[in-house]
Amino acid sequence: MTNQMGKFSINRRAYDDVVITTPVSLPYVRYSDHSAHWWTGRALRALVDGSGIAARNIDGFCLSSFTTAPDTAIGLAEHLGLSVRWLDHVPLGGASGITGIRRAARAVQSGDCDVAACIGADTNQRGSFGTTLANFSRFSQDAVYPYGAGGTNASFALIARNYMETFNVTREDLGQIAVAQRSNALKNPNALIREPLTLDQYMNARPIADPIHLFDCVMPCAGAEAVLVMRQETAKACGIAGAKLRSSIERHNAPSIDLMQTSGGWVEDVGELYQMAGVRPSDIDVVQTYDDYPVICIMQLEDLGFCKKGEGAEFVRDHDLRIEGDFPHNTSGGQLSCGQAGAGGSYVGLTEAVRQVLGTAGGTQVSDANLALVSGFGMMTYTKGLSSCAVILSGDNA
Amino acid sequence: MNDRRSEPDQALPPYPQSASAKLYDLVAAEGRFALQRCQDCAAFLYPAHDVCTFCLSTNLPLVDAPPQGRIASETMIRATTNPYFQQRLPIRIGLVILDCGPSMIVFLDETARMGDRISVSFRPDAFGRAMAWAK
Repeated sequence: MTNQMGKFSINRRAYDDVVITTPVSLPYVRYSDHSAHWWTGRALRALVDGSGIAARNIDGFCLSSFTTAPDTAIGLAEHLGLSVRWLDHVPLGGASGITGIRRAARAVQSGDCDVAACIGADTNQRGSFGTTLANFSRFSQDAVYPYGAGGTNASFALIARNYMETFNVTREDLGQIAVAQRSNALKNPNALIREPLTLDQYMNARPIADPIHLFDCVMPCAGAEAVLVMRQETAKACGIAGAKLRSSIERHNAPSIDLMQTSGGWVEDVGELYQMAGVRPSDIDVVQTYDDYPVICIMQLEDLGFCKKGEGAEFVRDHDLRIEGDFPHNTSGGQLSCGQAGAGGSYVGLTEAVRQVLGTAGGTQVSDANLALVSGFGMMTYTKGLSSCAVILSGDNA
Repeated sequence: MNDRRSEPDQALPPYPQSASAKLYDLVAAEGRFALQRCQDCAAFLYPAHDVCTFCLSTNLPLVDAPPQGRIASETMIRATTNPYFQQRLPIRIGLVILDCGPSMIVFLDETARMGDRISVSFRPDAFGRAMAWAK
């Protein structure tokens, strides 16, 4: 695995004792009359209640949301009564959650703040999703949206069609991912979609943008996900358990991404991801990939080193991706079954991974899960998904 | 992804546009195929750029460009949140990689298929906006 270091790079410094605590997943709803402010407030309240740390002792805040306009994180800080000495707003779609916590991790590690609340929250009012699509980026406004306004479905359909033909990926392969995740979702009381899904139903679903069919798509909804980031000594003093941040990577607009995208930015940094954590792909107990379309899950399994490029479909055929399987993947049901609460979707894998390594995942718990890998992907500002990121977390037994 | 229909307003273009993208509307009206070309590094650029991606130059006039390329992928859009396009489904689009460099989202003429060598042209739509077509 390669390390694409820059001309002036040094080895990444370890995160020492930075931990992620208090995973919050508010139950989603398909449509909400509440604002993103309301959802962010409910998430903050759940962080306070879950950790026992008063809001006045939260001195760092990182927000990701598409629907707080005209406010950004500072407007929310005022609204929620947060007085912080570290503030960030991460507008990176599916890469927001991991990017947010890795920034927060360095802030608490260095003492710029002590307890950072990282929240991904969005509302979904009738018609608001269309507005988000229409205003996503300038290149998209100019040169993608006017071509039928197919949104992310159409953009990912173009990637999927080429990917499937180039690497002999069938719809059945992609269906295995969606079906396994639905099986997992049946054990998650918070999942928005909790009806069993068979491969036949997947195959016979109505087409949205060929080869994307209904069960390849996430359902836009309202909700929020959140965690706290702090030093282990802080967590200990507060009597709360935390998942250790072993390593993380982030990459945007990687030169290795072809005009017709077949890989994400992970390929530039994946060597460092494992090296920094001191583990190999085969050591990972549970994997949460960003599942805005199953074909992107396959891309991640390849780019994150679980198999070689082009072998993703075979990997899926050879493994059982369910909670009880030999390769537990998107154990909460992922966005495909939980729904996609806007930027909150970027935290779905993260909150679930923290619960997994802390042994608090309840019905979706993988037995003896100690090492988790989570990846994020986002920002198709034109025709390529530009932002990629990943973290490795471990529990107490590491 | 499905979203509820909002009230259609047929009098307005169904999409917003940045000021620099209007460059292409005139070209379409003249029946030319032109792209911005960096006067410092000679790279062709698309969509409308204010800065050259390759050398950071801001000297990027429109010039006639070679329209040949290959359809790298295609899809048939069968669902959209946009009321204007909802009435025109299905819509077939492709991703074209031009021989001169840039990639473009295009409407596909009936016979154009993934893998085909094609030429791209700009044609004005009902709102006078330049739309790229592959034939």
